Amino acid sequence: MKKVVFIISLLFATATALVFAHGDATGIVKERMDLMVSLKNAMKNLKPLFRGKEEYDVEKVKQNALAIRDAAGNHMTKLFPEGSLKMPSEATPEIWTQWEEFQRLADNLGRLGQALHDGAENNQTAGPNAMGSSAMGGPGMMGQGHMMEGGMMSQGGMMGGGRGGMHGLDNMTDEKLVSMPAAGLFRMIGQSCAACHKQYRVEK
Amino acid sequence: MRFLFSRRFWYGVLLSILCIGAAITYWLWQPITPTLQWEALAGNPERGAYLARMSGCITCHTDSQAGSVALSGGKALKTPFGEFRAPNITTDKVHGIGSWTPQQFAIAVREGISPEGKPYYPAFPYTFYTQFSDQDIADLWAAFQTVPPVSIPDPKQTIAYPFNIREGLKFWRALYFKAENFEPEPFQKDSQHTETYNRGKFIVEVAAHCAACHTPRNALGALESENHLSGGVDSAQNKVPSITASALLKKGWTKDDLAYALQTGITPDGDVFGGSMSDIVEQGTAFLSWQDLIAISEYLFNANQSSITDTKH
Repeated sequence: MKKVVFIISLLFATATALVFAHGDATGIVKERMDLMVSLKNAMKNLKPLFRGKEEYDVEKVKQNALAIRDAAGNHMTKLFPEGSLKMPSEATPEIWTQWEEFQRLADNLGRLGQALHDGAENNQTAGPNAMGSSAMGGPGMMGQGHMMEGGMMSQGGMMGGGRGGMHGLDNMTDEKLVSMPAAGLFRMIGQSCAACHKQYRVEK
Repeated sequence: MRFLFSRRFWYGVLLSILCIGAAITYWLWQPITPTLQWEALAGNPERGAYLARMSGCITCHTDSQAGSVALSGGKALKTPFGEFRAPNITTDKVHGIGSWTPQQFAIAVREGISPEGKPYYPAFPYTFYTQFSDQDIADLWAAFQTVPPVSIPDPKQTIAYPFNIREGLKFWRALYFKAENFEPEPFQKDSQHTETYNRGKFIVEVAAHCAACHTPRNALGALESENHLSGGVDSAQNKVPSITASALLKKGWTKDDLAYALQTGITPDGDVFGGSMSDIVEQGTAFLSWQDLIAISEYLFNANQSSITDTKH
């Protein structure tokens, strides 16, 4: 009898754990949470390659870049039908009041994923400051001169501007993107994710 | 007890209340006279610009999402007291700080008092900046002089009553800030720790004012020092995680991971910071040197509670 009770308890505990492991998400919310996990995993796989922690592997970059592309654009936005905020969704309602912006960010992520795939061979040195002298302007002290915001003085000289707003991406051709260093594209993908998270994700 | 039924007694009580009320009102509406006589030093604008990045000046005073010009006014900072918006701090003489003197700038940043003698809301983190040295202030001033003027009025504040009565902040200052007879107490290095640790401590506890978001606040909006860096809420009322050493270790962060995340926004598990931290990275920490990012990590991973709560907020 004790053995039966033990087995039933074990099955119950396993089932409960499985449910909670997926954060209670179901339906469309679960689908998009899974999609976000796939994006996260791709970024996790790419990070050591661009930091010089792993040997640079073009095929691995291409593979993960495609994973990003295939989780972006309409693949992503179709998983956000209006009002789908059922818990444990982390989406904010602004997605639907600013749908064009949300779609733009999702599309740009797709373009960046494709560009990283196509330009994966165009790798420059990796390391903690790999982006310091890149086309993105990188984390230089004053943050000036980044091509994404149109030059040194446009945002108020040494005291102005961010490290490259994602709005500038709209004005870049795909050819231009592909010509950028792969490490730069990786950082831009991170910025693209951040731009979306800060507007459309609740931090829990 | 018969006096309780005396009309004269109650007139006296009423008169006393009115006198006390009048005295408090007079005190509240009197401009604050700063005590500090600041002697302007020669500033280094490059160092000042770097310090401004580190201190979040560009992050808060720029509405980057709306594509506004840098330092011409920030986006809404949501709090339980209402929405604050950082003002225009370009060199515009009407709408910015173009007509300020270096002395007024020093008093504003370190004492939280406007040139008109009004107290600033602590949404402006002067309670952290109060530990800036004279040279820090001079460098910041020099950097701000390089900012072109932008003639845009300050964004509108939407602060709930009674918190919109700025004069009431005198009570807050009396409770939580050394408001009278201010004397600068610049950041002091701890000789028992390395230069890297001390640099990190200066960045975390003074310039970057990490506690402003990463520490919970009480009902009056003051930081709960006993829960320093143990998590709070950000300007959009998002949950902000704990960044105590134990919390970071528990979540599997390393010093290197943390420095990299502050540079790029990308976390060890491949996620990317959201909420206000994404702005802080984009406009601030992404511009810091790798050495400074490592210094931040060094401090956060090695600070114990006593060394943290020693800091003045």
